[in-house]
Amino acid sequence: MRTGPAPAVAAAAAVLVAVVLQASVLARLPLPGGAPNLVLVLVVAVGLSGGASAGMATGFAAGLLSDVLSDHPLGVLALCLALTGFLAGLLEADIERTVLLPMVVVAVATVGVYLAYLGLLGLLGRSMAGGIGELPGTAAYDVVLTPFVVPLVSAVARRLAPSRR
Amino acid sequence: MTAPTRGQRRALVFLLALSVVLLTLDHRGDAFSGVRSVTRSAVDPVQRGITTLVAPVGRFVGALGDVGDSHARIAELERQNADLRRQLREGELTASRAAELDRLKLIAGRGEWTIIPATVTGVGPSLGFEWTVTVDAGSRDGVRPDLTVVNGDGLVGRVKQVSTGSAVIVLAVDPGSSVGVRLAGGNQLGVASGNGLGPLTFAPLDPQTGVKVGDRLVTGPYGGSTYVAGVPVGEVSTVSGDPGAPAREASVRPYVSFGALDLVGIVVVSPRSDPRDRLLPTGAAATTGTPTPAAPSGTR
Repeated sequence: MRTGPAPAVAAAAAVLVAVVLQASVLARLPLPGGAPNLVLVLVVAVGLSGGASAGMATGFAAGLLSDVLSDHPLGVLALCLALTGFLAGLLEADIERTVLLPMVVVAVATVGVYLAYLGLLGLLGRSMAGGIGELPGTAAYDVVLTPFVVPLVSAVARRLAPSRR
Repeated sequence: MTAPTRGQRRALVFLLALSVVLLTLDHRGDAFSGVRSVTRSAVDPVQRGITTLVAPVGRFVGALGDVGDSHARIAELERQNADLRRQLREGELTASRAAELDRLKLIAGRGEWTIIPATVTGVGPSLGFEWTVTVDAGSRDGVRPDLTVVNGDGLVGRVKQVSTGSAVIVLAVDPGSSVGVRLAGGNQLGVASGNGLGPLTFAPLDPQTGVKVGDRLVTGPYGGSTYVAGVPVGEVSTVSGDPGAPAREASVRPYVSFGALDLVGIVVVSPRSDPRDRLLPTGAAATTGTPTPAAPSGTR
């Protein structure tokens, strides 16, 4: 993110598109057992290809936008996704070696974010325990999304900031 | 693994702290309703555009399911044939929408309500635990928070947030939702609360109330309820405890199919008189105290 505004603009556009797509398309798909979460996969992808700073900034922005557009208190998803982006960013150096790593990271991140989200809402006195049944399905769909999203994000990142690599 | 720099660690702590501050402010009071409303107004046109664009895709995905059922026949079907079927399907979709609108008008007429029809454009963009939907009618159409939302089958939920061109509706199955209800054919009151996907839970106010399988519930005047009275809610499907003993809790199968919401009506004006039981699906038997023979509860 030190090479000018282009990567930040691209990330902002991607966040906007992902959040809107998530709300109006992905969450409504008639799929059994859950729905893919494009926003989460995007945050992980940005973290893996852009590092911890890019990951947490993207995660915070995407989370905050999702928060604003939904009904729970502001900041819940911002917190979860900022942390997710940061942690994914710590794995940045290892991403080139394997195609499996992003999938594993996405699966772990989905489980982590869901549990953190449920926990936070629980702390705020809103029991949402019913939603946990969708977790396995969502994690599986997210893993399926990964091979499409991660290479795309990493190609864009490399193109916009060639000096990083 | 790359170790984070000190700056990165500081930035993370800052962002996390900021989230917690926002969270606390918003949880205490509705501090950001202005921001929410403005953002929603900005995103609405985009969301509406996307919904229009992907509607054919959704129909296509739906059609794929049908094709999968008759797998053996696929080889015989020619492309033209599939095309014709798709066209037919779209025609049926239009017809079913018209029928849905008719049923909505019917229930509104019987309840003497003035309603604003609206189409569901999105579900909550969060992780899917909140049972909310977004509809394409907002404050400029006369929608206000806390209005009751119905469809042709019965109670859908109530309006939570409103922006110029859209509104967020909390469904009656939301785990945080509880609706004051009345047993049809009597005056026993209670509360029906949401459990997400599963049936609603009905808890009568008076534990001595005899609840039987097949009893039907309508919204009732209870606890400063924001809901319009007399809207059909659902039918008791199972009762916990011994058959003889008074029941503590009962499961209620809602009339509305929450997984397939499309057209809803927002009740903006309702008469002062309670329509009592006359909005229930099979209205004739509703006024007697005895429950109708339990309908097979397999249909969902």
